[in-house]
Amino acid sequence: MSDAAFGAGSAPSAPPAAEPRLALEDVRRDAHAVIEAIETVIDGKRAQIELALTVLLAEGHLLLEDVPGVGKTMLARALARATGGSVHRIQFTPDLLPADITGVSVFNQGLRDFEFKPGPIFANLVIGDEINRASPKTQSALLESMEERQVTVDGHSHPLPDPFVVIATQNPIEMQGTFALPEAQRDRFMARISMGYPDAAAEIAMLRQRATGSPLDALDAVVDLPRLRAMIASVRQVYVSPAIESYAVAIAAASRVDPELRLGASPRATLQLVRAAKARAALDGRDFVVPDDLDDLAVAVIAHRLLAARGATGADGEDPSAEIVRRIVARTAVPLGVAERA
Amino acid sequence: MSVREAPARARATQSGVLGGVTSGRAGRGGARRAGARPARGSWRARRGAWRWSPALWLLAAQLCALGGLHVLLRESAWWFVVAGYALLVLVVATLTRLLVPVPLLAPVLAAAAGLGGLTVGFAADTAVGGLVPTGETWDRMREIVDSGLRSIATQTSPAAPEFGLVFLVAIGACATTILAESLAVGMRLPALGALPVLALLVIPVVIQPGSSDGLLALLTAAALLGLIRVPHPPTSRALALGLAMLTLVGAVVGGALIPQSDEAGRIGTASSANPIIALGADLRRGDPLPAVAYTTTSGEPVYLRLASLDTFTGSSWTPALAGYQDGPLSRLSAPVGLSGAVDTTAQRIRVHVGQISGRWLPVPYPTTAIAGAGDGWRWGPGDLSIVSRDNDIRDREYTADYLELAPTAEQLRAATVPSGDEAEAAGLSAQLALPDDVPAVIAETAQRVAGGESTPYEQALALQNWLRGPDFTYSIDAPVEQGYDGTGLEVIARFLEVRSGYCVHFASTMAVMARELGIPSRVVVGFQPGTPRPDLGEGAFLATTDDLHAWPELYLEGVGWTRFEPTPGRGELPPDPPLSTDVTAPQVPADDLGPDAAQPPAPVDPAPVRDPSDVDPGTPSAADAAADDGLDAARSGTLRTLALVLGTVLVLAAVTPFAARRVLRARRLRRAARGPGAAAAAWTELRATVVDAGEDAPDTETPRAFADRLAEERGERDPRVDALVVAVESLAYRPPGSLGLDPALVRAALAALEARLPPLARVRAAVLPASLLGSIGFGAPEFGAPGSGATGVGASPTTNAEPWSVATHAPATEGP
Repeated sequence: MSDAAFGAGSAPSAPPAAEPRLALEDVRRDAHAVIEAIETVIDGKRAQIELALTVLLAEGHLLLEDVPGVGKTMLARALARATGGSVHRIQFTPDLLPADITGVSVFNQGLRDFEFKPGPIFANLVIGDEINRASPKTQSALLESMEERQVTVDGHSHPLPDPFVVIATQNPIEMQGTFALPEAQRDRFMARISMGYPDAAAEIAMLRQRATGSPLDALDAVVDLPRLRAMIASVRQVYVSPAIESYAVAIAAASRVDPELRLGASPRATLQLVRAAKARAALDGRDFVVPDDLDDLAVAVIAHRLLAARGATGADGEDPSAEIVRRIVARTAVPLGVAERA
Repeated sequence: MSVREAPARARATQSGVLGGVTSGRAGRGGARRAGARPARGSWRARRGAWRWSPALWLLAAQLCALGGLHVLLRESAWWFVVAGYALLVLVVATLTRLLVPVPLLAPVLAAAAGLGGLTVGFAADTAVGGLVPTGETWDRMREIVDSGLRSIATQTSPAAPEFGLVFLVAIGACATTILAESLAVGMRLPALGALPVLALLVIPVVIQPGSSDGLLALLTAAALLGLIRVPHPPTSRALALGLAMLTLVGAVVGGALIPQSDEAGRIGTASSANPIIALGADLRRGDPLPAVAYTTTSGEPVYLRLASLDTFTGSSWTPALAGYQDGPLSRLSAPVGLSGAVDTTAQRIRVHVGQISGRWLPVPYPTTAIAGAGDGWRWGPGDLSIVSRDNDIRDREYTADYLELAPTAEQLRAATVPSGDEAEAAGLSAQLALPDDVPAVIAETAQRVAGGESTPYEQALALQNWLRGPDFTYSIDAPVEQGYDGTGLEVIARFLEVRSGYCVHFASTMAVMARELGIPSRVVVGFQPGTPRPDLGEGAFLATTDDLHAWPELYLEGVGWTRFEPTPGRGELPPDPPLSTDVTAPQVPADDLGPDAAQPPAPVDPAPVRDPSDVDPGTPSAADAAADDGLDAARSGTLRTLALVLGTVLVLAAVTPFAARRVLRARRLRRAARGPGAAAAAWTELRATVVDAGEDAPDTETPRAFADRLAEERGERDPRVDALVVAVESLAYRPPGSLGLDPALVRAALAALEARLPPLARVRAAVLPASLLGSIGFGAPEFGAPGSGATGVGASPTTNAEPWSVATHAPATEGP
């Protein structure tokens, strides 16, 4: 896993037409190859793997909220390895400074000039471990980079590699010494998932695997970076019908008036929901989004952005937002067309 | 992409989708949906959400509540009538709701239908085409309402289902049904909708405490519980449950606790301002109540007078209450016009009034003194009737001294009548007065029948005998059915034409004709002598409500007011001693009057005319049976018409939903064949078909989620449904291109959905398509407007708290 592997691909804003594209059937096949490859490393977490890949293909960032040791980092590393990307891991601590992430300009004696030393953020996949342990200042630095996909130091902008995905982890039960991410920053993550404990069979399988060494070493890249970029470009082309747009807007709108919520979904949430849905459609080999894509992604994409009203409680101590999103989705009519009546 | 290419293309290029739908997504998708949406029960369990339910439960409750009125109304024919009206308005309201979803239209149209139905049923001859009410219809209806109100005020329960009474109940049935429907279905407040029904249920309790039918109350409550069980906000359910329980307890238990009302046992003639109208109702009661028991010192039965109706307005007879005076009854004035030449015997009668209510005291004529009746009475010096504004005759016991008159035939023949001025002087002008517009037929008939006789008495006899003659028949119902019940001039003219009626008609006709001949006359309402009842005491007689009677009294100078009996024997009661001109001396004139007078009762109408003492109270007479037959025949005639109308309504009501549903399906299939909205039309039709089957197909469910759920519940996927799902998705969510769906594809999927139903359920789905009443009826937004989808699907996700932790994966159908 070399740092040099990150490439300076075209900026996300570049016109899609300039990018190589794949037939969606190829995207689907490649994506499933990646998923199956990762599954050799992480057992019984197909849904999480799929979602991580969906976020990667949709050019979003992922927030993993779970207890330590359930394979968050493993997932990120496997994803990077299977897609031929680079991966950096940043352990967030209270004394971590922004420069420790973005990199610093140091004086190069030989060149007699300042030279930018890229920080660990310069990788295709950045694992921000325990992001809520860093000071808000440092968090902001990371989150700004996530949004802008570039790092500006001393007036120079340094574009981040393409694709660029941050997989941040949060420990939900450890409260001391943490700075919980404010809503505005959580909003920058496309999706939040929790790994969950593996089931017994998967855990036993893991024990046997690990007995001989890290399975990660045996994981080869299934696709290379240019191929991954092409896949991402293809995802952008997935068609979103007006009916789907209105469905996404209706879901977001419903969350904004829900009495159990203090803060509803932002327009960014709507945008990212549709983007994720496109990736999901592509994973299915479809060139158009169906409402089921939105339904299936709604909790992961929307729930972490919401603020539940006081008193709202989730089942089994779960985040109440997830349940509220589920309810909203279940109550929003699925449009099958857009009225064109005069 | 053309219409027919849609599925083909889907198969060719969308194997991922199809594969997903058909197998790969079966586990994942299904499980995820289950996680993302509230868990659902089985298909069968959801049948409860059947959308005709509110209307049907309401109908059941209404029918039971109306049935509960049987404790107040006799027989059962009326129930079919009022139930028909309830059904009519309910059907109209329900159909309106599904055809035109304008909130206020349903009750308005239902009210219009109810009005039209009432017009057809009760006043068709006044309406344009028998249906459209005119000003005359209003007048007629007001009359019917008035007579109904009188019935309520005067009848004992259970009351005879008089025309007016049934009319009122029918109005009540319509009104409560419309109200209940608006609340329960229109405003989706079934608990409040239960209230009007409960009001019906409570009526018997209020009117006759302890009389409510517990079983029907129970059934009504059960139906109301069914009504409020239909999905709705939970608060409403709790409220309704409470209300239903409260009413049930109130109706079943509370009824017994409420003290008995004094109104029970009221008889119309005894209390009504115009007793004569209510008389018919009392006679039609069917099951007579014991009214007055009495013994006389003479041992002979007597006629007991209640009210004397001296004033004739042209439309009705009313008592001359203005001349009445307060004062003790211990000494009443001497009878008017009675000369000393007539033999009189002082007699005494002991009267015990039974469980009937009324304001008029039954006494013989002429009474001279009354003891034991209490204070507060007024009496008329001219007619010797006794009335009170406050007293009730119920359960009173008193004695009255009266005179037994025995005028000789000569005295009667010699009697004259006062002419204009003399009458004025004698205070008899009111008893001679006739309106200006007396139909010519009355005067002509009077002249023809009695004009040839030489004395007033013989004229009176001629009239009496003619009326008792074979030309006339006694019928309690003919006048009611043919619309000439009453005592007015028009009624009399009509009566002379039809020649069928009861005592009221005979009495008023004779009285008016007598006035035409210059003889002062009045109509008296009271009791026939009744039957001997030794079991009640030695020499006791009992007059029941069936003995209520009306007869004319004619004024003969020297003899005074003389009773005549023009009514051919009615019911169980023999009218009277033959040709009697006096209360207690029947034989005297008969003996003296020669053939024309001596025979009258026996030859004219031998069967019904019997001496009271001969009557075996337990045996209904032939006339009784005849009257009953006539009653039944006539009633069944009206009912047959109504049944025909209501039957037609019923058939239409049964067929309409079916037809409407077919029309809708055809329309949607047409639209599905070409855009825009083709996908929505096809899918709406599919959802409607599922809803028709009594199952759930919310508009918040995506097509493939529906297909997954269906497959999960059936254990296998249906390729026809999946094909439609693919086609609909591709039409709705793909880049524009295709214009419509292959109708065969849609039909195949619909057939697949219908085929899995058992035959009975399929028939029900066709005849009572539930989808017509729901959000996917005629007015449904065809595009599933975003944000409008809060259809109240239960919202308590319970399973798979985290959709992403689902551990099962079906293998992908296709490899890389």
